Amino acid sequence: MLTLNYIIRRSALSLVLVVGVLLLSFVLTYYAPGDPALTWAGRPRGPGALEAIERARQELGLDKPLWYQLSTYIGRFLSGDWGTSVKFKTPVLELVLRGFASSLELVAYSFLVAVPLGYLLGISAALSRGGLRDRVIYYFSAAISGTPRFITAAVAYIALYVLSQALGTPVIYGRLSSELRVGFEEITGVITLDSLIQGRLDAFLDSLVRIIPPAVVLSTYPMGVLARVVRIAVAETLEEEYVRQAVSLGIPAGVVMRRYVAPSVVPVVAQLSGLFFSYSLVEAMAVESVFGREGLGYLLIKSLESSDYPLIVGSIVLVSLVFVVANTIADVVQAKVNPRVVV
Amino acid sequence: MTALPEALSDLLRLMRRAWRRPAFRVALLLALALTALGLLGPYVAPYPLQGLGVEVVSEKSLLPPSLEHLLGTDAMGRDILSRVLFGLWRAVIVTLLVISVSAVLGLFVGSAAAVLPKPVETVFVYTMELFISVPSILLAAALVATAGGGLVPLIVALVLTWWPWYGRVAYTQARAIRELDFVNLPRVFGLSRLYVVRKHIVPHVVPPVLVEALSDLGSVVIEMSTITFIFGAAQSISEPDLGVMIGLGLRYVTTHPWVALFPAIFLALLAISFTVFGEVLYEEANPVLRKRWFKWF
Repeated sequence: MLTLNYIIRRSALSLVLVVGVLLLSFVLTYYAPGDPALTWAGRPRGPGALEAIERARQELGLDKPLWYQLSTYIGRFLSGDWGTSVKFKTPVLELVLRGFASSLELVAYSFLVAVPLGYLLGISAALSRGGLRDRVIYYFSAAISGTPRFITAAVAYIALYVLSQALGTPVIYGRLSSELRVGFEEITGVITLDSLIQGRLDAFLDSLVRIIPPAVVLSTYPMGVLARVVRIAVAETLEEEYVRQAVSLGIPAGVVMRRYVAPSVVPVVAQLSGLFFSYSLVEAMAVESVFGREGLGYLLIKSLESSDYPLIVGSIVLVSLVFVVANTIADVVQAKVNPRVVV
Repeated sequence: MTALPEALSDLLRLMRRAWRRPAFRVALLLALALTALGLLGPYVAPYPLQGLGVEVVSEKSLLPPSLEHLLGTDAMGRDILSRVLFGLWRAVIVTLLVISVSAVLGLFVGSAAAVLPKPVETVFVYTMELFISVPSILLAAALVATAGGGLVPLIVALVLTWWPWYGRVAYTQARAIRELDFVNLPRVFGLSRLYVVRKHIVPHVVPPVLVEALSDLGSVVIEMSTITFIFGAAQSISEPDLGVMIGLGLRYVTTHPWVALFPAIFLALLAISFTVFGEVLYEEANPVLRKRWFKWF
């Protein structure tokens, strides 16, 4: 049963996890090898280096007792002061939110491709078990989900590059063409959404064309795994007594699939999509960097190039928090769909 | 411990069943060949110093494949075949280490959570949830930023984000049997908790975790190389790594395609063979998947 009690308990667990995420980032910052102030300041060199390190030392409160450091650290994150990026000289929270919106956009589009296709492929394979169609779908899905996404992305990018050179069209790169970028106002950071809100159809179409190739590349992993898992879930459901009964009564296959099998497969798809989310985000960063989109991957590369530690820690905290929230929502939704999960 | 040999003989039986399928045979042989090549790589590489990245021959940069350099040379004049062999060694070592350490850690924490008192159980379950939420690539980035681009930060980051999955499997498995009679009765007879865990719980928890771990080999290869690909793009590590080589090679892909192509081929072969191997094994371990439904309709 989905009760208020369950929701409250699940939310309390999430709060504990949020504190846990902050604690983990604290440990990463303070107990990593080397001097935390030096790391936090981005390993500065040359004139002004000592000053920057001293500033970092004060910002981290390294001269204060441990409990004080811990409480101010957590308090700072909770109040939205996530430090300043060494590379971009802007607040980390702002940067990370913008980068995350871009990566999230890509992941969302890839799911729009992957979920329906994976579902259909899985059902189609399950119905012809052992047949040619099953085997083709099975090995196809194993191959596309088994190839690292950045290799697929590189191949797709090169193919599109060659194609655009041959056709004389502009290369698909980045999130929005630079002419349209001028004067474009970002509200949510998700360009395909912002352009629709502002009624800019040209910007919408341009960004849509630019997001489709990376989204299709990124969708290969969830699609391949989903196809195989749906195939398994359908196989298990077909084994159930009520389905056998329906088949033996002579109910047509289509009706059996729609009325008896599909309802028990949908929760599996929903739960799995939640799990893919974190894996897809990691791969989105690599795919982004191939297609030159500015998202978390771009931020990560920039922050590694300039040892921008506050930015790295900020991205860890933000992404982990999003996962915690997403998992909470997924659990509550699942508890509503399938009451057996609440123990 | 009698649990491990039993689980291994179960696994062997599983493999023998899976062996009947041609795809499994191809995948297993390919995976074994690549693993062997990876493990022997550093010893058979024609230019070991160039493979390691110590020696740089700038006058020989970006040469196409020839008899002297079978797969050509990269931007710094290093023999790509040697780089690929060293990279393969790294990929194989990291994958095997990450999977085995994560599986053992998950096994212990997961089954401990199921048999220890309630407060410990709660803490362990929350810890697993916490590490599931942390993105591996960013954790690896933080560790690389502080500890450098060696193997250790990469392995630590991957283990920290992989073990909770096995912890979950072990925990659900152990929790499902902990109230059953064959687990509870020996306790009533006065046998120690440790004995019961060893004799009755571990044997039921090891096989599913083992199958899960083996079927994840492909995912670890992919995740590891995705991380190093980004590090390669950021030029933060220069170790011989397939992901890094592809990341750097993409810059010359239009003029000197072999720099990125050969590492990509080896990496894709390794990842796909591991994935197919794991998939078939997983399917054989869950027999419900082997029936043929279409004959019903």
